[in-house]
Amino acid sequence: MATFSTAVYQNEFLPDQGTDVHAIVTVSCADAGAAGQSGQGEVGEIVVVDTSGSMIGPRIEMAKLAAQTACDAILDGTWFAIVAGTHQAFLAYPRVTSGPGMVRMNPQTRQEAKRAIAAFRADGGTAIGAWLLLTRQLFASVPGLVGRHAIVLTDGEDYNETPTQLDQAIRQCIGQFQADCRGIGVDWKVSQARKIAQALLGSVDIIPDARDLPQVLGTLIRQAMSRGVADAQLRVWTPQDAQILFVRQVSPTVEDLTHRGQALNPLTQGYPTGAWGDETRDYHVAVRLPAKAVGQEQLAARVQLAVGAQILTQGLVKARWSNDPTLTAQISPQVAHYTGQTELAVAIQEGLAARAAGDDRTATRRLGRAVQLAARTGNAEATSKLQRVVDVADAATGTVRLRRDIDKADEMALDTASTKTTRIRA
Amino acid sequence: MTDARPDAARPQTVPSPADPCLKPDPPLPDRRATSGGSGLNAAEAADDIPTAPLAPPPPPDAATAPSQTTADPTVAADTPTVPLNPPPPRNLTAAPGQTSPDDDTSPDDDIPTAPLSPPPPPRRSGRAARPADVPTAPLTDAAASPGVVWRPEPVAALGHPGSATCAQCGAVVDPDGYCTQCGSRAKSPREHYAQAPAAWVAGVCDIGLCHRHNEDALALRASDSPRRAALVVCDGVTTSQDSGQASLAGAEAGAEALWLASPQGLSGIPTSAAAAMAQALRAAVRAADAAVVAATAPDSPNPASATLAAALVADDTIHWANLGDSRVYWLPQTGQPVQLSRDHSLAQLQIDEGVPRDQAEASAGAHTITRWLGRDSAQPAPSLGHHLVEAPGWLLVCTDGLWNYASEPAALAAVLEDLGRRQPATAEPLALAQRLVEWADQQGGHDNVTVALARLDGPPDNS
Repeated sequence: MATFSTAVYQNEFLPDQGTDVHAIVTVSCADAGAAGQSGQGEVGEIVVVDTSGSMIGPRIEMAKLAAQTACDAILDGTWFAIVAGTHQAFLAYPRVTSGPGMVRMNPQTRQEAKRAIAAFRADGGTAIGAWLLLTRQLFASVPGLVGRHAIVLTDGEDYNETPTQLDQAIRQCIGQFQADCRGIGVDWKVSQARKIAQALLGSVDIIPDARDLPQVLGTLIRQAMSRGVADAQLRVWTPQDAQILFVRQVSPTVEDLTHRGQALNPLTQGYPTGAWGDETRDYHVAVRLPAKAVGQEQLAARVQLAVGAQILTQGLVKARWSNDPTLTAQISPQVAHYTGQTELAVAIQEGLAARAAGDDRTATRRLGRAVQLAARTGNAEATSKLQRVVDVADAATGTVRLRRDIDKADEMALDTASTKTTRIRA
Repeated sequence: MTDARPDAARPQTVPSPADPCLKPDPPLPDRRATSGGSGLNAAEAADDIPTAPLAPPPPPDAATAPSQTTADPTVAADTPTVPLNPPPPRNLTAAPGQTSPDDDTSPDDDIPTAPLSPPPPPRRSGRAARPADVPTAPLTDAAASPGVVWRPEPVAALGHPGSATCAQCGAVVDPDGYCTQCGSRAKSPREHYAQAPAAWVAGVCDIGLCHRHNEDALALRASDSPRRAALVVCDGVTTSQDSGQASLAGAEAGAEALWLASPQGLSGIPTSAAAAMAQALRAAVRAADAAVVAATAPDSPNPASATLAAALVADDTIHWANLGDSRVYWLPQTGQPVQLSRDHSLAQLQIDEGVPRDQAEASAGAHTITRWLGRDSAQPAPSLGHHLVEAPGWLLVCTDGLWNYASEPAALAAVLEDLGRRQPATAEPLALAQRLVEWADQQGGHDNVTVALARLDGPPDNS
């Protein structure tokens, strides 16, 4: 049985008339077990492989190998399906035309799936929205699945759909399944893939070299299979007359949850967090309260993790008003760290967007700020990725020069990794 | 606020005047407050009893503590309380003017007042006429039908029952201790509790507004037949560790010991009764001290310590004891309100030297106490005394969280009267104790507040 625990990091002291409370709430899960094995219910896994014409050559071969590796990693008993995507979506396995569009994994279905994958041919266009809608339909065809996870593999932009079509498809899939998106090469669009991954509670990354595909997919499947808690909800209770300024996941990646909240009752918002393995996630919660008299104390938020109706852990965010500046002036190191990391993500994305738009001045300024923040918050990965895009003159002041010889893959890697955060150094 | 002992370094904060919980410390007017740290007993002895000729000769067993000389049981046993008794003992005749044998307020076991203190109030009529050796009605009832003794439920150190109601908005309090609606912090059972062992005895112990922990404690016992009560309050010293637990243990152990050790239905002469009660009070102090020590972590570098104020009501007499600056007051409906106990504090030392009370009690280190319960207390020797109740009124045992805002007995009596007037007919002890706590909060609630009250009717012919 999985166990959850919570730790709250904050400076609960507010100055006289102070209203805004910030806290980092760390939620940890232990003993999650394997997906579908916890007795909560069965889980499903769908692998979506781009088989469009651009995949022709070694890329499709590596994609086939990767999909077969994924089949090996899916645990026996797990419901699964393989989708092949072009300008249309095809159910590659199981080859059924009615009834459940998924089967349970066992040695026989694994072999059948691998044979079906081996028959993939690269041809046609790209309509990712259609792939997502078929995936949604397949999951829905198996009643009672508590965990639904998909991997979407693409090497190109969503040519054969309008942005509206893709957005509508994504919207229909929200809450239906989780999806990790991986882009092969440099001809796909990070913003598209990120939109899908963020909406569907997954990750996004670049696979510059197709030879890495089998290893990446194997890792993703193993990770999905290790998430024994199929679906958990972050709940934030705030008192009457309080306002949630924002709720943000800040580790392992920055994900703004503020507008994904669902009112569970007048005082409690529920935010989806998807499946959990043995892991730790940090949330930054900011609440605005009516100021109370100096000396008063009150609860600013109860931050809970719930599975189904059951609340498994709770962290208390508090507020105490004081006139002692030595108490109220301190900023929690955790809050400061993640505030910096969040700004880092924004600075990278804005800097890259400005560069793409030809606004080198803004790009230099924003990426310079990113270099400064990465150095200050000890984010070595961001620092290293930034150095492939800018020449750093002085990290402390954020003085940089845009490089003229930027590798497209490096730029995309910086973009996809922009939301990755480091945890605070002890 | 019992915020320090002389040997404990006070944390220096920069107070902000607008914050009700940050009290600025006025400059130290008297160097003795700091020098008291080393030679505590010597200093106190010197200040407490400055004029040697007035002090009675110390008995052999109290030689190390000159200030405690009259705390000896043998002295207590001989202390006269009524004029009908045999001649007063020598040691009191040797100190004329300090204690009048028929003086209602004369402490019988302790050096009562320093020479600079005003003379005791004149004795009031009626007292001496009462036959001391005739037991009153409740005492005769005692043997036949012992009263039902009320025992308090143990106070949980932490946690909420989960069904409590928010004091701010009336919604349910979550087991996490905060209101489910407005988020207000609810007080835990340790932070606020009340006891009402009889209709005429009750008390409230409360964290106040500014402290993080409630280090005050309260323990009460009472029976209606015979009409007896034991009231004990303790105030844990904030700068020592485990003081909240220790004060709770001390108060509880003290009340229990006092209740069990005090003689019931004693039909002897009042002097021997007083002596027996003094013995019981000393036993209670010893028990409280042992409990405080037991509640202290063995390796604590700063062992828990606490004050104690105790009152035992029996046979229309208040027998009291105190250590530190928690107090016992008698506030009669008519007549002179009096503070029965006498603080062991630097403020009291200043008062003894002639510094006006309000000035002394507002000075830096005023709340530094010179006697306390606890492992590092050299000698937890209480001051003791008794007082015969002649008219209806309130016995009040309290911590400094209350008397900080009304120290003079007359001022405290006025507050009590004012609060009682708002609900005159039902001056019920529990409600009144709660109102006194709320009143202290309204004055700032800087410290933990503990109020124990017993409504006494006085002898039947007077009630």
